[in-house]
Amino acid sequence: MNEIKTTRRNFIISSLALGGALVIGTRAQAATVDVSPWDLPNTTGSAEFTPWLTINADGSVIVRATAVDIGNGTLTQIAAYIKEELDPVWDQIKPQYASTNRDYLEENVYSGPKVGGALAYFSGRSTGPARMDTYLQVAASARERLRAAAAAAWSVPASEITITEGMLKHASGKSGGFGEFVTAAAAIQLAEEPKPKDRSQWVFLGKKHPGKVQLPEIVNGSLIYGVDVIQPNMVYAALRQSPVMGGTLKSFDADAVKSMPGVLAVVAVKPGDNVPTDLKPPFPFGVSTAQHAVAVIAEHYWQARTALDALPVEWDDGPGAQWKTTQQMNDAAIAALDKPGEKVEVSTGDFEGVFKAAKKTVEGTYLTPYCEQAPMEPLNGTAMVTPERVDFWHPSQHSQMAYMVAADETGVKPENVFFHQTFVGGGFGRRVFSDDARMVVAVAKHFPGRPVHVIWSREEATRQGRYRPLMAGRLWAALGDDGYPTALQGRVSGGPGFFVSGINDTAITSMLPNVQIESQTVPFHILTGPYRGPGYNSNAFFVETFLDECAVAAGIDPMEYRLNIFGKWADIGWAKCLNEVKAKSGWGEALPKGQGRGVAIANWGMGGKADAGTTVATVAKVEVSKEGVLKILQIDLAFDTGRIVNEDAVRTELEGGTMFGLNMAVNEGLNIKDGQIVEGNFDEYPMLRMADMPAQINVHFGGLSDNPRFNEIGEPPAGVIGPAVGNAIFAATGKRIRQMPFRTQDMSWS
Amino acid sequence: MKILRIIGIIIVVGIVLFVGLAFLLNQRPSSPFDGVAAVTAPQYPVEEASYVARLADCVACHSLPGEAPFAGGLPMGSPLGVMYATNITPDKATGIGNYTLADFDNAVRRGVAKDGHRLYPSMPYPSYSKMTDEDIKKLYDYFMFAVEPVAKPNQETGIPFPLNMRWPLAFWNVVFAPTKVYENKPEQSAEWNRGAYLVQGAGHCGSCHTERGLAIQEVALDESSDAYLSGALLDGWHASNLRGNQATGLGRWSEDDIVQLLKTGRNKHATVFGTMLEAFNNSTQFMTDEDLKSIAVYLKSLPPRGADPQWTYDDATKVAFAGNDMTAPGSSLYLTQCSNCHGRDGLGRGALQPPLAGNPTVIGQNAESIINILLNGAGRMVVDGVPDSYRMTPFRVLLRDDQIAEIATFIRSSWGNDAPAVTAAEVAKLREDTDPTSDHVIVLNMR
Amino acid sequence: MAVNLMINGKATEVDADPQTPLLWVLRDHLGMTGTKFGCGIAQCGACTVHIDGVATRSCQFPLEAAEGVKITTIEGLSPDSSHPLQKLWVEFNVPQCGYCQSGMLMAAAALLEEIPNPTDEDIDQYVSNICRCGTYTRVRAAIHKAADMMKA
Repeated sequence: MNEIKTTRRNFIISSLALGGALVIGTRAQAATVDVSPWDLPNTTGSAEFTPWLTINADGSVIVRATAVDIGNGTLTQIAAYIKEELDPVWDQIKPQYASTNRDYLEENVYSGPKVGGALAYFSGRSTGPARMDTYLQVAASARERLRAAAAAAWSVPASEITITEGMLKHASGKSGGFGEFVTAAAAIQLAEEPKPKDRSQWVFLGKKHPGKVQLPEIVNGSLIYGVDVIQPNMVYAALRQSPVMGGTLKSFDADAVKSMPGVLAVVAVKPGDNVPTDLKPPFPFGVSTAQHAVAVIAEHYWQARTALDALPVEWDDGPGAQWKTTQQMNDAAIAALDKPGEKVEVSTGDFEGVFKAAKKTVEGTYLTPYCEQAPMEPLNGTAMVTPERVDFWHPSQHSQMAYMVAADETGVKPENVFFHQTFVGGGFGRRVFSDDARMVVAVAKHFPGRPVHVIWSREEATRQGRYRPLMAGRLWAALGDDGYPTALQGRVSGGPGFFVSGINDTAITSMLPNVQIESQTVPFHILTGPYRGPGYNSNAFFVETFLDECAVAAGIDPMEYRLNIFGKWADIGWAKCLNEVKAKSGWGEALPKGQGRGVAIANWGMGGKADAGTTVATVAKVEVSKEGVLKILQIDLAFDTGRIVNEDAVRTELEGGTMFGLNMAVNEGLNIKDGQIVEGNFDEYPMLRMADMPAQINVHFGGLSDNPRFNEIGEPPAGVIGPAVGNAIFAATGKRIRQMPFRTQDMSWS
Repeated sequence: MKILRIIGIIIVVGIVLFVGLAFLLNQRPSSPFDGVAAVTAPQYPVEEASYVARLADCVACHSLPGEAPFAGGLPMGSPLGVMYATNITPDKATGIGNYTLADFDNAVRRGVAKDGHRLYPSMPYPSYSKMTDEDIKKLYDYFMFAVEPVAKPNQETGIPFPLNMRWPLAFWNVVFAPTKVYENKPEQSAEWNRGAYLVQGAGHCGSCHTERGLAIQEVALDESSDAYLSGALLDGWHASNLRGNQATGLGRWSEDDIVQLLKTGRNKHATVFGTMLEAFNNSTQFMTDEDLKSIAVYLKSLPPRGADPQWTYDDATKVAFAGNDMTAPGSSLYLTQCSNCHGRDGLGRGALQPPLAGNPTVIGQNAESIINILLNGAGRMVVDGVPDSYRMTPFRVLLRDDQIAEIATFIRSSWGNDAPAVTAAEVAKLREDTDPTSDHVIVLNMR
Repeated sequence: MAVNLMINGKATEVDADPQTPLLWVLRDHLGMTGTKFGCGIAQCGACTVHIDGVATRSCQFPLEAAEGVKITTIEGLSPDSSHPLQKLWVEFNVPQCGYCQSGMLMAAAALLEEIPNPTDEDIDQYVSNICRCGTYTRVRAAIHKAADMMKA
């Protein structure tokens, strides 16, 4: 590929005048300074090679990141691409977030289709092939231009110059750092763009696995997350939104709190109070709509929060209050499975005929509740709004969306909106839709001229989520004489915003000749959004628990059952993963009573095709006491992303995704009372801790197929751990777990 | 207060049938205000009138969180069925707008409604009967002229026939409910007498803190019996002993400690929680310093009841923690779940996080409150309309019954505390009986 | 109300409501944002600091109780990130998003002060912080390794 044009236009535009770029934000200089670490000017003697890459006089290399690092190592991966092709000193590579403002002004220089497409700012797929090729090309071009500049200075052929660890060298003994040639190199236009190395020649990618570039700032507490932003003259705001989603603010008594210490203002936010733009956001603006809210603004956060607690507020709950209990909603979702789905997602062959003729059929009904992403950093943001300009510091998962939302809320021209991406204390999908971004700006615009730092309490964040949807699913299979499925029918239902991925596009659906998958929307008022592995995290549980029930009905070992089914699938990764976990987990070894192993396999992102997405097979070994107390003893997983580049980064994401999925399956579930979310904090919405960890979480690499793709890894493990544990509980106790969270299910046995 | 015990009612019914004094039924009691001209305008400054309402804490039961004050509707569970506090706003159709002063007096001090039906003694009229005529007039003033009328029909009780018949209560009243205004004891100081008046009368402290007999009557209504205010169980809480017992009562508290607790919700010994939290949020914090002092003087005059063991701090637990000795059952759970706020020394942190060492509630024989607070947390104190920042978190979701029992047993037997162990079965029962409290702030606004 | 604090060996005066949680005094009044806000109810541990050497969740620690005690925050764990745990956190690539890690490090550091050679069970008890990214296994490994290093 050769899509980056290193034209003159690109290198004469300095990023100097255009705010928004950032070096890893730290407050290293002084503890209390109100620095804005996101607008560091280029140092003297630096030159921009392309909007993606600037080299400084000291030889350090600034590379602009177009995907947010939410803990998944995006910045490190980008640095690794630069290291591979340009070979600066590792510590001298300084990733910055690319400016959304500049992207807008310069025809989507960072987000156009050629450099990763519409998802260019999105967290997922952030280091995928399109991005990788872009960065490798950018680095290779810079390398050649540096060599050309040095060749001219030394009067030697460029081909005789080597670059290692940030030094250009010639056999004659001449040598120099990048800094010496920066100005000259940046002015050079190559006749022909160099072709990046072939994968077989890589010396860094796939060979080295560096830790995250921001680790030094994390371990001394200096990394600046959104909540850590301090700006001159800044004030704080505490927020309360309509307890029932979709409800409206009836009244509040600002006089009751205005004399409390530090209180500056009480402001109301209502949806539709924005000044729309004609921007084309990556997600429709509708997903970012603000709820009715009231906020107290004060000099200090605790003052704001104390006054908010004391503020008398009346709400009109609206129609959402009709949902009195969780059970009522669960029943409605399950009742929706009793009739044919309003939408047929997949229909192949003659599933009805096969079912009619079948001697044996299996049926199972499953349910997954609303879940909150619960990133450790509560939702927050800081915005200073004036009629002419908006500055917005925010831990977004999607800075382009947040940038456009800020313009759309205020009516300030996009070129005068400056979005400053901060570090992010976890996302898991919660910070994608930018409803939080809109709320921050909507509050701040009522207090113009001073930066307003809005911080959600944990309770507010938990009860005002954009949740993983409540979903119910029912599956039917016709089994042949050999016990294996010959036809499959599936129905799923859920509140608005549920997804069918993981059931409409998975291997079994694609492989079987007679399949029908239907879906049905239930009119719940609860707002939903992405949550690690959207749709997949429910549907994989339905499908893989059901497959286990089919294996039991057929009297076949669940591992053998899957191997026999997926061994016939065109994607060899499935069988490789199963064989790997079968061999490594001790599958088949005898266990004492009350212990059991369970297996599950699924793929995130395959879209119904072989050699696509990421496959994960997980075996869980559990122990259940007679009283029904569950303990996870061991987890083994194998995966196939095709190929990988940073083994340790892959391992850490798979460990993390497994823990996330385990917590989802065992612990998470929001309850509804009179239309409101009941749970507010970690005392009611429990999280796995150190003491709950299995003794072993083993990530095995033997499932990799070496198919030429580098697929993502963050979301795939989250879908399989739940059914693996549920199936293990069945093996241990004979009790089939069909509903999350498992902690509410009776697992006792005798 | 939500108090009714089935046995009590059955016995009352039995007594009634046995005695058969049916002629008493529905007889309207007499009030000193009979024949008084209709009150058409406030007779007292509103501050004085509302102060009596604060003392009597009517709002706690006669309001629903988030709704208009005094409009009733609060469900009170009882083994017989649920009953609902009534609308006592001056709405003519659904409230008490048509009550004369005498009608009002009969309801408050004698438990008889305008139409002659008898109130359940969850309305503390046996205590209110000690209130002076003047205080009743002020209270009437307050409800007629300071409270906004709210049209909200009363809800029928869920108590089934025949137990829903009210007439037997007339006999209960004859036996258990005095109708005498408090009389000063000349041998006691004015301060003591004021305290006694407040505690026994409007404050109706005994409704919670005095144990009840088989007919659910408070076994004592004043200091003449050492059962008075010696602690009692209700609604999943154990209202603590307010007598002079060293370990489990107020023996180690100074008068100032008592005043501080009632004024600020906290002192160095304890923090208000449970139903006392509501009494504090709605009532005691609004009392004058003089009245609080009087209450303290009166309470400190109550001698200990029964055996009176001392409590002294024992640092063995602290030493064990320092040496990483986790052999005591529950110590490791305490370390992880509790020590951050209550300290490894069990001494809490300032006045905001109460000590567990020597805390009367922790040491009390009955562990109901400790189990309840571990399961459901403590709600939030609201001082001057501002909810506080420090609350006990509920562990209902995070911990199993056996774990809560282990922690409760640990804190009841550490730092010199010496109270019986708690079993998982006790926790399981209370878990079922109690609903989760939320951290939603409940501020009942008067006026 | 002015309160005198001793933070990371330095005397500091703060003027704030005495009931303000120490967490917000550090973050908001003093600009020391290394100590994180996660839950506000002493559940998650992101706000862990040392009070007289004991790991303490500062979100439920009132300012009025902070006078006269020695407070250590992540900024004061070591002057130059040289604490063995800090080094191993980098070496083991422990953090993912990193938000909970200040608290995790402070809890782990206090543990090693109290129990130089902790068992898995000790770690479970003393480091009960929440990490939503799921870094627990690496945290545990790094604590064990640090214990070995500090012994040597």
